[in-house]
Amino acid sequence: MVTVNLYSYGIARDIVNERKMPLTLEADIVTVGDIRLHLYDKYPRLKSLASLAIGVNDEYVNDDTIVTDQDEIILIPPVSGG
Amino acid sequence: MEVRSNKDIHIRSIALDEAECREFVCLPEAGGVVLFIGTVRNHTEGREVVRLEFESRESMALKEMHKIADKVCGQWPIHKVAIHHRVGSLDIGEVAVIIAVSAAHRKAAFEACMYAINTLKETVPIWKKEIFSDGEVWVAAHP
Repeated sequence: MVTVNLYSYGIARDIVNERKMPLTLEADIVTVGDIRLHLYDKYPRLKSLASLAIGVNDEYVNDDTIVTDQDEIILIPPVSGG
Repeated sequence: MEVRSNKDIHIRSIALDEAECREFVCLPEAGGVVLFIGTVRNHTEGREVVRLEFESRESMALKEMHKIADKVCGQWPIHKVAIHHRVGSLDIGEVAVIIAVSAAHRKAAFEACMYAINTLKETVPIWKKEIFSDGEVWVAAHP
């Protein structure tokens, strides 16, 4: 079992409806891809976004990345600064 | 001995200061200074914009802005670079972003500044919501 903290921004925050929330997945090894599928299942509107990058502890990562307890997982819908 | 950085990176919820950015990058040996100022436009695709709201993942955004500044300094013969981004609610005409770059000659300064703003728009976790008189939309969220 792995528990991470999920931080959501922009439209992802509107969909998830929480800026920060704990998220527990029942597996010994959890990847970013597992979190993505879990969230797509729970919040189908996330699938309609033009893109959804995921950050771990303030770095962009790919879906193969393994997360560990208490990691900060950041939902990054299309950025639009500037 | 004081070590002075050649980068000045900020995210602020108060008005950005163009003079501050210019003064940071100006040096006797810099013959070219390029200052990009991104402001809040009053329309998008024919719709009137009332204001913009910016939010950031500040810790990660600062990291990504530092990466851009480092890349700029490695790729072009740049003396100094300043990148300031505003967050919060902005009215039409207010400054959302400033990028200032100094170099010995103009070509490097122009190219580095262009690279910096283009990359910022692609990688820095900052989001903008356009507020219209009859609704609001997160920019670029949907295909």
